[in-house]
Amino acid sequence: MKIKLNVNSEDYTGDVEPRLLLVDFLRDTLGLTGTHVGCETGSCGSCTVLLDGRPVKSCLMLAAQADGSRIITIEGISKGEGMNRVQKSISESKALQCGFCASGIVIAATWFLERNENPNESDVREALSGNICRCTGYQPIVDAVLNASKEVK
Amino acid sequence: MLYPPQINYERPESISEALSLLNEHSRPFLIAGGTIGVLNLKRRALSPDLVIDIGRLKELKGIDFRDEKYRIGSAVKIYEIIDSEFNGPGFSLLKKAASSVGDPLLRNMGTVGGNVCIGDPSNDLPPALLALGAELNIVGKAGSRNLNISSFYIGPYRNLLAKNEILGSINFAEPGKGYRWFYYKHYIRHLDHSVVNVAALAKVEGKKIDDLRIAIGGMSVRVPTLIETSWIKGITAGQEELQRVVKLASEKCLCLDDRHGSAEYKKNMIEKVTQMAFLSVVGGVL
Ligand SMILES: Cc1cc2nc3c(=O)[nH]c(=O)nc-3n(C[C@H](O)[C@H](O)[C@H](O)COP(=O)(O)OP(=O)(O)OC[C@H]3O[C@@H](n4cnc5c(N)ncnc54)[C@H](O)[C@@H]3O)c2cc1C
Ligand code: FES
Ligand code: FES
Repeated sequence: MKIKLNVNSEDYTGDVEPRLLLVDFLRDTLGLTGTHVGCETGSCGSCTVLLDGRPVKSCLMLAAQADGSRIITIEGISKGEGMNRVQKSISESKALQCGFCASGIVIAATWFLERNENPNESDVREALSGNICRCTGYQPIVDAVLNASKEVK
Repeated sequence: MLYPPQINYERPESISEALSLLNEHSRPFLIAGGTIGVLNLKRRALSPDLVIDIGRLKELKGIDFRDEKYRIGSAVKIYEIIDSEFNGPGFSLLKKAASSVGDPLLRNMGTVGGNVCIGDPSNDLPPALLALGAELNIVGKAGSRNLNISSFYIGPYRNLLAKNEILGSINFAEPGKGYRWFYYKHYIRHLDHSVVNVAALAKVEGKKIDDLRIAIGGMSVRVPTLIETSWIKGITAGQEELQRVVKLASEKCLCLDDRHGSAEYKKNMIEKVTQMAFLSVVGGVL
């Protein structure tokens, strides 16, 4: 079937199998492999992307369901400014270990900070509750997001 | 790797087109947000001859408040409930249940209708909607019918929707001023099915209970269930009434030993959360 999508500000029109998952469309068809696949069952959040401005788990969606939508992946999250404040803060404080969870966490945290000026720790934990990290125990990530929130945009 | 089988997919433009598609196929499958539907396709639990995506149907969208009654379109996303401006006690109860669904990403994807229709005993919205006395507006080729959510579930993952029907909207009256509400979900780990969840609404006049509604869900019950509490109207509640409500709730326990806990644990948790709910909404009367 034909679908039309805008991914990281570029239009894409193509023919896809109806069963193609959104995450595989991004990774395999478009080669945007920054979006990861972890659990495949909607639990881990490593496949998180912005769909029409809101973070979703792209392993639980058909590409067909996203037809006509605007998608931002980790490759497009910093709007051409190198790294955004969440990425900088995570990278400067070395908050990650293996980094598998990173793209999902950056997307969820960036979206969250855009709508919350002065979050506290429990707000950040709630905002990241759909993103599993198997390495860090979360504290360094939560701290990095809190630090990023204090930076002027 | 989890991958859906080959499927045919249609996104109809209207309810009537969706109903025609349902009627023309022998194994049609509806998805709205698809969080469970796509997952079940990936698990190959289904082999539909057509996947019908109703998630964007305008007729199934919107939250309206008219004549003290809410109408929530079945394709309204869970986050829209949370972000909505309504703040009466009834809607606040629903908001709290909605914010207990999964995580923020799933709440951006899942719909109210999907949450109600799955019939997963542990889903968050059904106990709240039971306490609110919600009416389900169900549409079919021949017209629409209303069904109270208290008679909708006939077993785990089973409801009274016919194969060719669609849940159109969920409707309930705002109980309004003077009502107190309570929602609590008990789970072992985040994103696990809850062991028990409880929703409650009550109005107390002076010391007398004017109205009390308590519903429970979770893996400790067969289906989301309303506790029979009409007898309490007009009574000044004390320890005896509390114990009676707790006992009525624990009788609903589908007390099986499984990975969600032992039978005894489940019964204890039902009793505990029912007591919490009762004390919270009935308040300082005891
Ligand atoms: C990891 C994970 C965690 C979760 N945690 C929770 C949780 O904590 N609490 C909770 O309540 N839920 C939870 N869910 C379940 C689910 O995400 C939500 O219940 C969601 O609201 C379902 O809505 P949906 O639109 O995605 O449903 P869909 O997957 O689109 O549909 C679900 C079912 O309902 C049917 N259906 C949908 N809409 C209609 C309609 N209008 N008419 C007739 N039939 C219809 C579909 O055919 C399908 O069988 C979780 C899911 C996952 C994957
Ligand atoms: S891969 Fe999508 S949530 Fe884990
Ligand atoms: S750093 Fe390894 S999963 Fe998060």
